[in-house]
Amino acid sequence: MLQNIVIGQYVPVTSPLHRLDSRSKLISLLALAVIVFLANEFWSYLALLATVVLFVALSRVPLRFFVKGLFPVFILIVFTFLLHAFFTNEGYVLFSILGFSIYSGGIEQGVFIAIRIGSLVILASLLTLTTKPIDLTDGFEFFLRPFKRFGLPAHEMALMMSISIRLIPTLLLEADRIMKAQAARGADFTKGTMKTRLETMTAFIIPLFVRSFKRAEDMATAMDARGYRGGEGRTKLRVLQWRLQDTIACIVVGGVGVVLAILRDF
Amino acid sequence: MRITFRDVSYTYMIGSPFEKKALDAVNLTLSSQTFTGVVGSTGSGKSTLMQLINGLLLPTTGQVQNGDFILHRKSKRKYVKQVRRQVGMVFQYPEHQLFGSTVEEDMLFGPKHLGLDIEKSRQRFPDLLELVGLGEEILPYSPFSLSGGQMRRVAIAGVLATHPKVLILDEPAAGLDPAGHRALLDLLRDWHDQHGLTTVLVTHDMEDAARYADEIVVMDEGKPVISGAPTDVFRQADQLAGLGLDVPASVRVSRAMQAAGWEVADTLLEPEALAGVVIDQLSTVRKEG
Repeated sequence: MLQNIVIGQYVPVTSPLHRLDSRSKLISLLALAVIVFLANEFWSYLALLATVVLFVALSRVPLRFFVKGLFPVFILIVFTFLLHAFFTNEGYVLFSILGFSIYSGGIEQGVFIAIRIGSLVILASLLTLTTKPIDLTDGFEFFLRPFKRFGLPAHEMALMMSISIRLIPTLLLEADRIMKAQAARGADFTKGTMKTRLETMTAFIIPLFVRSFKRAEDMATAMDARGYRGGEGRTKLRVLQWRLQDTIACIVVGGVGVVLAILRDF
Repeated sequence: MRITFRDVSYTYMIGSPFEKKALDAVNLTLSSQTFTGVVGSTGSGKSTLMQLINGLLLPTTGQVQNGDFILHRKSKRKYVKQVRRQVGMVFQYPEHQLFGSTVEEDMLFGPKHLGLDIEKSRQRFPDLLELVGLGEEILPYSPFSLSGGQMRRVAIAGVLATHPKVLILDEPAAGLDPAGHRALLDLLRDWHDQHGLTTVLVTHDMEDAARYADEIVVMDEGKPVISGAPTDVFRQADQLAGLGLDVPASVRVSRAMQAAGWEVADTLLEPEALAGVVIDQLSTVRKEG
């Protein structure tokens, strides 16, 4: 029932993007999120599109994973496209429907905005598709550490994130088991009257909560028992390593930014 | 009810990078009214096999026949539910499925959702609770106020409340103390005998399989590799060892005794039986000596 959920979206294949340090990927994504907005005319959009296609190809992640990521924003893309198509009065009139004149400029703007939103979503999913969640949290912790002097509990936040991520598969397994146990007793999670479905949901959620609280308690006890006292002076099992390829990746992203800045209309 | 697997394969997460074939063209028949032990190491496909019986999973290819019901890849939801009315399933740590605010509410969940007569089911509760070693005074209590052992008994009573014709047990006694372990399996075996059930016990405890099962099926890498009566299965100790499985202690002891020149049959599956033979032999030795 829950078997098709991919945790944290990570796709375990080997590719140049998978090998990069999570920090260089985080920096690149941040930079690209700004760079995407530099594009404002045909050639710069083409360059942007080429960059996205190149990165997707480099990631060696099957295309359907990106399609899955795009699906939730599909409506947003269509909506903004239509908005631009109907309400931009630039260029020449292509045709008229329902009293609206559709201008060539409108279609052009619509396509541009669609590319812009699409690129952002694809670039963001590239990060999660090619980076293990646990590496991602390590990366986050690295960037949050400077804010510690302002009282930001960087280590605790990262710990919370990694514990949550670590427990997602466990929780899913638990959920699957409880669902199946109740389904074996006749529970139907998809059909039925409001009242029976409410009871079915209760029979699923209550045991799941009970188990989660129990597990959290056990974990706290286990951490206490091993003398866990927070992040001060702790070393890491897996140390993030910044290599040449990471520097290159950042330079490439910077290059894309420069190219787009040159190509764009001022 | 007779359960037949015909060319059943099952693949998890088909079409993803995590694709995993759990069962591979399984052909297997579990005769009506037998108590079958399914053993195998972790990942051998035994829990997948068990979930195919009541349609929690539908076969990727092939079909599973359950009495007159046939389940296949495209079986309809309503049809699957009819099958579930016949099949009770006790998962590992069944107490994790408890949710009701009272024991009674929890036990009514099965009968209610499988569309059984609620009043009739309710009348059977006192007997059912007595069978699992509890009393009817427990009905108005919250299941979460009970002890771990009691919770498990309530959960099992909740499964038996639907009076299934087929009972699937997945390590029902895991985590209980030895006395509780024996008591629970004894009562499930009694229930099996009294009601003429077809029972499948999934376990990796060979002692349990030897003691309670009429038939044993050994799974390995998604296929049943050895099956038959417990004495026949445990005679193949070397082959079982190759699959990472043990034989019951009494079989190990009798084999060692045979090797040392004692006259012991290798069909003694229970420690009590073996002990009897050892005593007999020792007393003859003493008489002769």
